[in-house]
Amino acid sequence: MHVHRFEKLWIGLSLVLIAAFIGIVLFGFTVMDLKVPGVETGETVDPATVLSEGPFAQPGVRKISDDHYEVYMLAQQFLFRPGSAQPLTLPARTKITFHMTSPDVMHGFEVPGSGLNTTVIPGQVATLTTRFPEAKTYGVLCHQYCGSAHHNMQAEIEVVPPSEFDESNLIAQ
Amino acid sequence: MPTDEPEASTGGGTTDEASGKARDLPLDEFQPYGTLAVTGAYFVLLLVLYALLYFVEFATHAPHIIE
Repeated sequence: MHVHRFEKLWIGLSLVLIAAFIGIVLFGFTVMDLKVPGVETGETVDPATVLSEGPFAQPGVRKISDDHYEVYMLAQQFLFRPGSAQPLTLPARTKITFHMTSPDVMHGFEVPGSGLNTTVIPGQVATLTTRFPEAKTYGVLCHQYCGSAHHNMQAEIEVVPPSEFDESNLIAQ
Repeated sequence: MPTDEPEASTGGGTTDEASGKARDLPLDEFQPYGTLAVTGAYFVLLLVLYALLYFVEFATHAPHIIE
């Protein structure tokens, strides 16, 4: 079959484009060391009892070490606990691990303008670890339609300098 | 691509050029540089926007997931 040389050119370019897309993603996950949210492997929670048993019965911030805190957060219709009733306060430049689950339906957790974004699924615990680079207030949105007041489901994360972080509100381990 | 013009075969006495018939063009002499330019520009735009989306919007907006 005779193929015009221009046709050959853009068939070739199309293949280069596909290779470039795959290459850029591989570059991100190897050289740039990007990460995606994880699920605590093998660990499931019962959505019916998650509010009364286990760490999610007392959602909040726990201290692991001076440079590492963890947040147990519930995403439920139509609020984040902690975060919605009053801002979740966290120290800047400190490692923060979020553990999130839902007692009712599927929710989303997104900090707009950042790389923090995960789905929160009943029965599973979504985890992600981050460092907030600066002291400022970040918003949180639910990005999975979860019911009639989905559009009101939001929270705030107030990031403060580590020296100003009040540890009196931490949950005991 | 040969065209089939009934008037030409009825012996009107005119040549193809004189009757205004489009001339036959072998495939390799067809040079659509305009199409190539538009396709090329779109191709470059696609790569630039993809790089912008990935490296600026997705990969470098802090805070991001580190573990």
